[in-house]
Amino acid sequence: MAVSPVVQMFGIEKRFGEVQALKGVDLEVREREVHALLGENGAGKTTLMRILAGELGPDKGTVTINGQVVNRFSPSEAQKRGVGFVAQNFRLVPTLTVEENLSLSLPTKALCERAKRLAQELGWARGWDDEVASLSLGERQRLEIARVLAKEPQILILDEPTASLSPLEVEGFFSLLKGPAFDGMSVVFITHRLGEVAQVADRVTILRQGQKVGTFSGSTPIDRLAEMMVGPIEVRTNEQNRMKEPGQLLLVVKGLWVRSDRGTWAVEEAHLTVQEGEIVGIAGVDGNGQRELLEALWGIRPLQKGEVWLDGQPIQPHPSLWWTKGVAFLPPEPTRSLTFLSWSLKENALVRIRNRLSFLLDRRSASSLAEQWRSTFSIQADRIDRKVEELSGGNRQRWGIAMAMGLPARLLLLANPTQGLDVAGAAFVRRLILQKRDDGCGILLVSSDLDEVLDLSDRVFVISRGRLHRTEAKTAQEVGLLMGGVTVH
Amino acid sequence: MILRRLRNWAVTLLPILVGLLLGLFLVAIAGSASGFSPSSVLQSLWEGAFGDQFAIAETLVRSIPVLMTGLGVAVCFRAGLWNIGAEGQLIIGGLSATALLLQIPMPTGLALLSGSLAGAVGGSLWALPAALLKLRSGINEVIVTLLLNFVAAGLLGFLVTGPLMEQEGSLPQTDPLPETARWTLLLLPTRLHLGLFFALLLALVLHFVMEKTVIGLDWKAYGASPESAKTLGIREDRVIWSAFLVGGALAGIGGAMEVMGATYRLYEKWSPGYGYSGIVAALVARLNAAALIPSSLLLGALTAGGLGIQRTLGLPPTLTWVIQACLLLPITLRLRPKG
Ligand SMILES: Nc1ncnc2c1ncn2[C@@H]1O[C@H](COP(=O)(O)OP(=O)(O)OP(=O)(O)O)[C@@H](O)[C@H]1O
Ligand SMILES: [Mg+2]
Repeated sequence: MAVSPVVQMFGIEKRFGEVQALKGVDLEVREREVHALLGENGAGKTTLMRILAGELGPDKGTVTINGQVVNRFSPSEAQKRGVGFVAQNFRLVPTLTVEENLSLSLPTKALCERAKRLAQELGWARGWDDEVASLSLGERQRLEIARVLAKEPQILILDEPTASLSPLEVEGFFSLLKGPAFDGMSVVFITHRLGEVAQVADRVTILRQGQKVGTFSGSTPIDRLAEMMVGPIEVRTNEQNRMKEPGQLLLVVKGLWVRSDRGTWAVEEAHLTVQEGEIVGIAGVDGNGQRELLEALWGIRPLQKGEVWLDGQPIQPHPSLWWTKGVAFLPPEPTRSLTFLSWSLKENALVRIRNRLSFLLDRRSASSLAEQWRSTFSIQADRIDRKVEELSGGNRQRWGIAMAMGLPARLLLLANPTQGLDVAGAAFVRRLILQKRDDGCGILLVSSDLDEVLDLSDRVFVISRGRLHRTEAKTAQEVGLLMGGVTVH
Repeated sequence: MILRRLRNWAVTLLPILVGLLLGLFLVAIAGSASGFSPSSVLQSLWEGAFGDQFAIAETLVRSIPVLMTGLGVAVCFRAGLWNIGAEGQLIIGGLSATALLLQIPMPTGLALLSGSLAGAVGGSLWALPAALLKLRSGINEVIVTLLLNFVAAGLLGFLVTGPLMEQEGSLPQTDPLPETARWTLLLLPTRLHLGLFFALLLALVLHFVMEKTVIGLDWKAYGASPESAKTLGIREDRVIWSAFLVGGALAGIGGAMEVMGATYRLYEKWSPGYGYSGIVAALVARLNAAALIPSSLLLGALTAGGLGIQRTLGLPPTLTWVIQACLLLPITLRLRPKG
């Protein structure tokens, strides 16, 4: 195998206003290697890759691609040099169809056809005329990758491609990464799941607070990697020390039927209960009806049949009713459907407390709440008048969690709470969930991260093609089979 | 800190200045194409707007309906609802006030109050279909409001030549409003009237609503991200109804003020496009109610200046629409689609 570098970045510095995101970072990517990029939330991974992809120009430092120094930073220039970038925040237009999105960025018919073929190789199972808004995150991911691959890049950047995939999907994705579709490519690949490094990466570079810690072999043990990222931490949470037994019945869902955006049944006959002080987990591959179930429960999607009860009373779900009753919701894509990207943290907090107010706004409470959340949830922002869109991907997720879990609640509906969080952040959120449970809060935890569901939940359901199945299975393997639709008796 | 303030001001004002200069430049060129020196065109534009006491009063008078329609537009735009029907809402507001005040004689205070109320109701009613159709059938509000502008103009034309035509004489216009139904004049012999202060008051009230109250926050939140707003408990239907009703009412009051304060009667082509100038003013003010006060003054000055170049040079007053369009140019260039 040849080891000549295709990409060399030297002494890269980048500032956003007062924030120094990169403080002189080097990166070398060799021909045909899979190069993992690790680091805490806000370490500068996305910023570094946006520079390589020409979306940002560095303040200082040089970028060399195939031995040529880059002196004009623009996406089209980078594409000409063979760089393809699959961004953390997808660049798809949600109101357009899949087909329209493809033709928007791929100028010729042949390219579109190639993208479709690639999408199918990646396991695409949806129609080309479906609206992008109706796709699950995993499906959008696939579309985005196919779209970039169609241009046959020589260097492919994947910013957290596995964040929204379930374990089985990740396996599939990795075997593809080693397969013919990616043949001859150099891949730079960002992840927070350290286990994935040993699985696919030839080498790994670690960033820490805008600086490079070093580049290591892909077979470096996980705990060594974690230590170099943040210093020693406890990774796994301990479920054993529960304080109280589950109490009163909070939420009862009876025979719920919900339609998808396409009019087909997304959820069929769902039965479910959540008691005080217990965590009910729903595991499943994204796109099996989780979103529709949660949206219907939350009252932002019509429920066709069935009933929802709270505290022994039937209720008509509606967001403002839920908030006032002390029920909180972390939706599947909080940056799009819980936070206001173009608003400051302060203003976001203001909307969160609006249900407590009758007429006049209380900006002072909102500010102190935002300050409090910023420190409790370790959000990397120097001021609370920073906009959400100025935060790194993981910090946006943390802000969404703060909005959902930052105020006292009796019942929490959580979707993929640790998605995109670094190891320490994920551990923090899991501890917080357990602590809320111990305080008597009922929690419905919907996640495509199987281990998370099994680790935290008192009772586990599997959702597959819109149907909920109760399971006593204890291992990820058994549950994984159920998620794929295989029944284990 | 002070430096940052200064820079923010520069960033805000620069595009407006660039648009204004570009517009003036184009108008000067157009003038020279018709045989007038650029300087004479610009001079008569200036004199029409600020040349003497009359000109200044005219600028102020014309900025009132621009301010009112601008406020209405700002409410809807802030909520992400593209209501471009302020022109129609203004016309119907003026019509409702006139019809009421011509029918029922009232003492001054009551007449002004009920005239304004009639204007508000008329304007709201004219905005209602847009809200209804958007909520019921998902029909785009741009199409509905734009269509209703033409319907309103047609209706006005029909009424002033038919049912509401003056009793004596045969001009296509209504009878004048009785003395008791007119806003007090402030600076005789100019047309400047007390309605100006009423409009300023409404601008400040709306600014307060926008910045300090829950309903203002709801409008802005829904405009910034409808999904997040819904998840957080903001009711979509209430936002859409209230924004259109308030927006229509403000434009309608503007129409009532124009007829009760400045023209005293209605006629065909009664509004020289105040509702459209209101859109420009609102966008120049970046949808901020307080900033709408200076921006509608600018648009009022352009309208008055347009009459100036018509009076002294015989050029069409619509030439100043070139300037209005240029004011929008840098602003729309900056509006990028949300990622
Ligand atoms: N457009 C921006 N404006 C201001 N600050 C920014 C902007 N983009 C990034 N930053 C800041 O730069 C730093 C690095 O962000 P970056 O997105 O590169 O982090 P990351 O390593 O990708 O983190 P994550 O794992 O959370 O995605 C953060 O402190 C972030 O707040
Ligand atoms: Mg990132």
